Order: sequence, then C-alpha cells, then structure tokens
Amino acid sequence: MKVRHLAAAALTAALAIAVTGCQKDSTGDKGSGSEPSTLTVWLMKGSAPDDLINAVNKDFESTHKGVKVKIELQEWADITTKTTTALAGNTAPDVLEIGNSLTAGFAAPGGLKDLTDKKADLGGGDWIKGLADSGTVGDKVYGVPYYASTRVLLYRKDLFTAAGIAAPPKTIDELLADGTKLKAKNKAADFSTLTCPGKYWYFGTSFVYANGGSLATNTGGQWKGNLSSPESQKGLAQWKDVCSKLSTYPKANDEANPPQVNQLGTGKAASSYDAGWQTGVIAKDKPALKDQIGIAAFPGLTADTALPAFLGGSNLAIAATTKSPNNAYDYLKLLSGTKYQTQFFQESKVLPNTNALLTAASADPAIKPVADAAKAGWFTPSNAHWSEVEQSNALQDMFVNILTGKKSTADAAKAADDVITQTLNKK
Amino acid sequence: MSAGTVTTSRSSRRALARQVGQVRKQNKAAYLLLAPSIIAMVVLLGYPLYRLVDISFQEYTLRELFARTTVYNGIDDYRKLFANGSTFPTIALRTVIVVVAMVIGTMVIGTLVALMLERLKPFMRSVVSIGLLTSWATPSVSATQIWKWMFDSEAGILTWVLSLVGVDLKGDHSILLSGPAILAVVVVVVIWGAIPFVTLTLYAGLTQVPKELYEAAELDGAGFWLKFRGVTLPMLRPIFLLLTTMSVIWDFRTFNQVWVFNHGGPNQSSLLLGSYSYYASFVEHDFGYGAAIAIVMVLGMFAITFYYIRQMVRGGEAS
Amino acid sequence: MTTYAGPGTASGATSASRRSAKAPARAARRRSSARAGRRSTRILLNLAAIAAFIFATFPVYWMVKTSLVPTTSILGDGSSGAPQVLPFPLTFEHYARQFQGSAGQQPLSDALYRSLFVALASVLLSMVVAFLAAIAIARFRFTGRAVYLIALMGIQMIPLEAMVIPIYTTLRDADALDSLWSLVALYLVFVIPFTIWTLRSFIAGIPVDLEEAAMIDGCTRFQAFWKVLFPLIAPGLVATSIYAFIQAWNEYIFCLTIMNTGHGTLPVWLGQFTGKEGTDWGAVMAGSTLFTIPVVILFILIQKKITTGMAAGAVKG
Repeated sequence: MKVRHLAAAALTAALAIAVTGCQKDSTGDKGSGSEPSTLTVWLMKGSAPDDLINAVNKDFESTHKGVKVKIELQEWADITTKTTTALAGNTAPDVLEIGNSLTAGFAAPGGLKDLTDKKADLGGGDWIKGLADSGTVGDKVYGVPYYASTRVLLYRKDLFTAAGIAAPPKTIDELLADGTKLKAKNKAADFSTLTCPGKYWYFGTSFVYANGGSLATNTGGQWKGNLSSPESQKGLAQWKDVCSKLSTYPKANDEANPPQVNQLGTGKAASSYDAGWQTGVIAKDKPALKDQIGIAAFPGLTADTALPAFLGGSNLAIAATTKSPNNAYDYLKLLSGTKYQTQFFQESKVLPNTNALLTAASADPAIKPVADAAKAGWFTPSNAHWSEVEQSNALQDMFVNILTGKKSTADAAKAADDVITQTLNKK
Repeated sequence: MSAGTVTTSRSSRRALARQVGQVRKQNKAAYLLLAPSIIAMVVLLGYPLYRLVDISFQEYTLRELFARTTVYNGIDDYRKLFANGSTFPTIALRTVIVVVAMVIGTMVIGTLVALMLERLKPFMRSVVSIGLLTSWATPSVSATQIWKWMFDSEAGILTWVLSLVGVDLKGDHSILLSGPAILAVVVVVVIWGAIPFVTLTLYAGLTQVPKELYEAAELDGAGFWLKFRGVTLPMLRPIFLLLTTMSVIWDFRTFNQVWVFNHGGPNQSSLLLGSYSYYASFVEHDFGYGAAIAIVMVLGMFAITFYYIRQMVRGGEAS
Repeated sequence: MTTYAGPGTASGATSASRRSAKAPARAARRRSSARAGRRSTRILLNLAAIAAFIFATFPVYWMVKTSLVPTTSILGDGSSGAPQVLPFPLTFEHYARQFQGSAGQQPLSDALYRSLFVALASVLLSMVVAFLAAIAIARFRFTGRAVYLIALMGIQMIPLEAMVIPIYTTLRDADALDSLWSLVALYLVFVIPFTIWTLRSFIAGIPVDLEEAAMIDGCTRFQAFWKVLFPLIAPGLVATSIYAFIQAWNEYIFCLTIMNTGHGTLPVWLGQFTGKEGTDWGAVMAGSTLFTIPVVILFILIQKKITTGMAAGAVKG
C-alpha cells in the first residue's frame, strides 16, 4: 500500500514536471515576437464588468494573433500577501490591477515595471492628478490610473421633504441647519441626521483637506505627519462638531458596523457619506424606498465646492519580471485607453482616468455628484510605507479618540503624526 | 481486543535487555523505517528553516525578495529586537502572560470536564462528547469569526448578555478598541478550541486508572481532592506532562485568533509573538526582522519546555 | 494554522499494562452509581454537563443561525435590543450564493475536490510515514533516538506563519509551485511530528510478546509489524488521522500563496466573500457551515472509534 502510494505520488510529480516542461518549450514559438503565447492578467474581483473585459480580450487577441489572454480574478482577502509572493515567484502575472494605496509599496522595491518613458504614449498628460499621484513614486511612473470612485452624500428624500427641506445641503452650514429641522420632525433619541462612524477615517480626513490641511508633508524627502498643523486642526475640529451635532451612530465603529445603509433603510438616519452603489442595496432590501434615496456631492465649505473626496480605486501595472513586456504593455494601453474607459464609466458609474473623460462623464446625472467630488479629490501620501500607517489603525484611533473625547484634538493628532512621521521615514 | 494482555514489568525489562544487546543490528532497520519521515522533514521543513535562519542575518525586504539578492547585515535584525523603542520585549512579556493564562485555563477546565465526564451516565456523556467533537471540528478561522461576531459592540449576543450583568462592551467600550480586552477574549477562544482535545485525552486516561486504587484511598477516608492528588494526578502524570507541554507549544504559536480579531491592533496592542513575526514580514515587509522574531521565539520556547521534553523522551525510553 | 486540532492520546508510558476498554467503563458506571446516589449531586452533574455542552456548541450554533438570516438582520440596524436567538426570518439566500459564482470564478465543486484530494492524500501518506517512524522509536534502540525525539518536539515550535517566505522560495526554486502534491507534502510534514509522537505511545502500549510470537511462527520482523501491530493500532490510527485531516482541511495561508488563483482549497475559496467594502457575513458563515458540518458528522459517526482509540493510547504510568 505504501509503495503504491509513493509510486503514485512520484509518478504524478514526474508527470507534472513533464507537462510544465512541455508548456515552457512551446511558449517561445508563438505570439508577437518571441514572447510567450499566454498573457496573464490579474484583475480585482468586482472592478470591471465581465463584458468589458471580454471585449478587451477579443480586441487584443485579434491584433495579437497566437496570444491568449488569461484573466485571473483576485479576491480582496489577503491581497497584499498574495501579491507579495506572486511578484517574487517565477510565474508572476504580466499585467495586474493593484489597489492605488498599495501601488507605491510594491513599486518602490522593484516589483513593478518603470513606465515613465511611456507616460506620454499612454496619454498621461491628462490623467486626473489625484489618481496619477498614486501610481507615481518620486518622478517615476509605475501605475497607470484604471478607475476610481468616491463617496457621496446619500439622503432620504422623503425625510428631507417631510422636514420642509427642498434640496440637499450645499454647504456644511446648511447641513447643520437641516439637522435642526430634521430633528424637530424625528424625535427618537437615536435618530441621526448623518451617520458618523468614528473609525471612518476617509470621511474625517476629507474635512482636513477641505480646510487646507493634509495627512503628511514631504520636504526634500523628509516626511512629516501634518495633522497638527493649524489647517488640519481646523478640519478635525469641524468634523467633530458636525459629528457630535448630527450623529448618534456608535462612535467607536467603522462604517460597516452596522452598515450605514441599514440606518438609512430603517429611517434611523436621514443621510450618510457612502459609495453611490449602496443605493442599490437599499433598493433591494426595501423596494418601497427605491426612489427615495438621493445622491449628491457631499457639501463643502462653500456652495461651489464639494467636500474633497478620497479617490479610492485601482491602477494597472506591469510586473517587473514579465516575460511578455510588449504584449503586457499593449494590453495595459488598451484597457486604460479612452475607448474602454468610456465603456467602463458608462456601465459602472465609476470615474474615468482623464480630465477629458471626466468632463464627458459629468453629463451623466448618476456620475455628476461623484465627478464633482473628485475634482478636489485627495489621495494618501505617495510613500512605500503608507499602507503600514493604514494597517496600524493610527488614523482610526485618532478619530475615535477625538469623537469620544478621550483625547483632545491636538493630543490625538500628535499621536497620529508621530506614527506617520516615523513610518514614512523608514528606509 | 487481544491487546488486553497484561505484560509484567519483568518481561518488559527482559525485552529492553534483549534490545540493548542488539544495538548495532537495529540501527540499520530503524533508520530504514525513519527514512521517509526524515527525508520529508529535512526537505520541506529543514531546508526552509535553514533559509529562515539565513534570512534573519540578512537585510531582507521586498527589494531583496523581488531582486533575489542576498545582503547580509550581521546581527542587525537581532539587535533591532532589543533596541531602544522596540516593541519586542513588551510583546514577548505579553505573550508569556497570555500563554500562562491559556495553559492554566485549558488544563484546569479540561481536567474538570474530564472528571465530570467520568461521573456522568452514558447518555449525558455522549451528549457532552458530541458537543466537544463539534467544537473540535470547527475550523479555527471560522470559530474566531463567530466569537468576534458574538462580541460585536452593537449586534453581539455576548455583548448583550454581559450588558445584563453590568459589563458594558458597547460603543466606546467595544473590545476591539482595547488590546487587553481583545487578548482576554482570545484566551477564551483558544481555551474553547483546546478543551475538546485535552478533555477527551484526559478522560481516556481516567478510564485506565485501576479503580482499586480509588477504593483503597476511600478506605483511608480520602475525599475528592485527596483522591485526585493521591491517585489521579500521579497515575496520569505522563498525560498531564504531554498535554501541558503541547499546550505551551501550541498556545505560543497562537496566530489565527489574534489575526482575525483585529490584525494585532489597535496600535499593535493585541499582537503576540507569532502574529508579530507575520506582521513584521507581511505588513512592514521586513522579512529579516520577522525571521529574527521567529528564531528567538523558538529558542525561548525550547528553553521553557526543554526540561519537560527531556523527561518525556526519557519516559519513552523506559518503555 | 489550527492549534488543538489534535486527537488525543498521551504517552510517556513506563509500563505496558492496560486493560480492555469495556472493563473500566463498567467499573466507572458501578462506581458512579454507588457514589453519586444522592439526587442533588446527580442534578448538579447534569447541569454542569449541559453547561459544558452549551459552551462547546453555542458558537457553532450561532454560525449556522447567522447563515440562515437575511443580511439586514445579521448586523442589526443599530437598535440595542436583545439579539435574535432563532433564525428568523429564515432565508437560504446565502447558501444559494455558494453555488452561483461569477464568470472566471472557481466553482465550489472544484474547491471541494481539491480540499478532499489534499486532505485524503496527506492523511494516508502521513499515516504510513508516521506508522513506520513510530515503530522505529517504540521498538528499536538506535543511535540518535533522543535527538530525533527532541527534534520532533522542536519542529512543532516553529511558527508556520514565519515560514511562508522560506517555504515559498524553496518551492519556487524547485519549480514546484501551484501543485496539489506540494500542498500534500507540506501538510504531511506539518502533521507528522505530532502523529509520530502519538503513534509511538500506541505502539508502546502493545506488548512486544505478540510480535515475538508471530516471529516464532515464522514471520519476519517486518511481517510481524504489518500483520500483528498494524491491526492492533487501527483505532489509534483513526484518532490520529483526524488530527491530520483537520490540519489539511483548514489550512489557508500556504494554499493561498502556493496555489495560483482559482486553484485553491475551500478555505481560500471562502475568501471570495471578503470584498473591498467589507465582509459578506451571511455568505462567509454559510460557507463555513458547509465545510464544517461534514466534518462534524464524520466525527460523530466515528465517535466510538475516536474515544476507544484515545483510550488505547492513554497508557497509564
């Protein structure tokens, strides 16, 4: 029994080696030039619709005879670990979609191919700045903007109307005033005009940027946490003021716990700062509310500026070890080019990667609030160690401490600044 | 079962003498039997372990990993462990405290449940056994998700139960905001997962203790505690020794529970050594430092358990 | 990695004397009826038993319950009332989702096949390898025996999470990534230190005389092991194989890194319900239920074998 098993294992192993060996031999003779006949592309699950990718693949394969595109959909769970090992492996993907806050972390140590000299060819002159920054380390380009989305104000039209409010607020002051009216109509002790989860640092940080502050500054290569600056402090204080006045949402939770849309659905909250597609979730759970959820850019300091929004999304990049540099580049150029970017924003209501397309997209009422918010969008510092700051939860801790009053705004910001300064200046 | 034969200690001593007389001849046969396990372990653990040690003397970040270069930096990674401002000593101390709590909790509760099982009627014993097998079969990642879930600051059932007795874990008091609170729950989760193994093993051992010994003790007027100390404990000493040692080793390596709860946060305050090594490697991408943590951890565990392992090895030798 | 997925057996036996499994059970029954005649003791004992049962199974029940209610009821709506203890309103939507999968997604059946293959192959191989090694330790004197035993314990101290990069690069350099056999081999070496140690005490509990009798009848030494020892430690093999099975069934991080996308086992497959915008709890719990329940049922079916196996291994001092 033992012998048979070992023999089977050995045989299978031998077969596996033989098969892979065959594949390796046959890769050289096909494809464009002398590149392998298979192009492996990593895309994140849920980013682009299937039909878009199918169209791109068909398009690509028709101009690259003999090359087959192999799409591998990646899960978000433990994507950093998976990417780390894959880029270190012998069979790294050729083209990969990579979350924009992770790009610098893999680019700086040499995991991604330098695309600086192709920037013009890719139309990089017109990329939306916040997006382009996330794929750039120093003055080198590694990631090409793929898509982005921002959060917007979701509000219950029926509750606003019942409180005598005709239009969504245009400024933060209007929002506060609306809060007074809504509370007069909704007397429940746990009613919120706006849900304000303490750990929701994308929201709080937007106030920092609205007031001219930032997360960190870079002076001649020396990074420094910037939350203690007077501008940032003003933003943090304003955020605390808005949240304390308008929200009864659990102060120490993140935005999924309970989901903000649940609060909107039950009428425990009249508005929230959330992704636009969440309206679909409400429509599914509570069909009666289908037409009662409005979308608007989140109000800013003045009526003509929305609150600057975090530009969350992805870049496209090429693995440094790719054996198909030309095919990979062609594919990346096709997928990030105008034709498919247009299809992408039309189908998925996301933000495209260039200013010209953004203008075109703004014609769509479903995208307009998002586009408005994106104009003044902000992005996390372009530093290889930034993702460590996020994973350390230093920012969540700061916002929770401020909102619960456990620390003063100044003390909480100082603690976060220390973490940021120390982490970003690591070798 | 034919294994019911009782071998006298004299005959086992005879067997021992016989075996000792044949040392040279048996070496070859023994090595032949051991060969598959040794080859597998050397190739798939020994060699990677050598690499781990090697990495711990290198500057090994994503840069070196991607470029496949080797940059030795002496004992820098180890120096970093004890440098000013390093969190390693704190985390090491924290790990020791948590492991002590886990091992004591596991052994005490496991022993009590095993003693209870022995006294139960067959039906109830089956019920409890099935309960234990159920929790044993649950993957630790799923199990930890559920425990986290039950302690959720809003919808958690245990949060609600505890609020009835005046323990407030809601909102600002969410366990996820406090390292010690997370670790307290992690201790409970680990004990929960460890009890089936410990209990069923101890129960199996209890059924092998000759009842005459208890009867003799009762004649001497011994109560529950005296019988436990005078009969059960000495009779089951080898089992306790093994279970405690294995618990120490397994609990030191606790990873899933810590990682699933809050990835070692807030602010690294719930990291234990196992998760700290992973954190250094895959969050901070400092694989050299992560390796150094793991090596020091193994050495520490060895130092703590060596005395007992030697006893177990000797105990085995006498058989 | 899962800790404590081990089956029980203890060792360190100093004598080989043991009794049949039935006698102590009978004795225990007699003893308990004689001692705990008092009603109150019996009631207290049963209450403690019920408490132990609830402590052990409640989290599992909660997993199943969570998988059976709509997403909106799972997280609550921020109200601070008592959580719903029964699965109501009942829905199977989370289970339906397990079988859907979008284009390009690994189907559940494929992940299930890979899980079963890896778990069964590593269990069978580890039993064979561990059985051979355990014979060597229990029945032979040889140079380096103590070193080998100490090494078995030492290996179990290595935190496997720290070994991800060294093992990954080793397999990479051997061109053995993305192979189920690599996983099988890995899980094999993860479990054998403990299974060898365990089987050793099973074998030590079986009198040498039996093999000697067989050898007098004309068997070679190895035939004696195979024909006499192997059947006798079968219950021990069952108990031990459960440990190996659970390890392989639940392992995540090595499968994630070593296997290519779409080639994962169930735990990796389950990752699809953790999205960028948070975790789909209902689906995760439904998936966990799906891949926990078969193991629970298996355990309960062979419960008798596990406990007798454990008793056989629990040789007293």
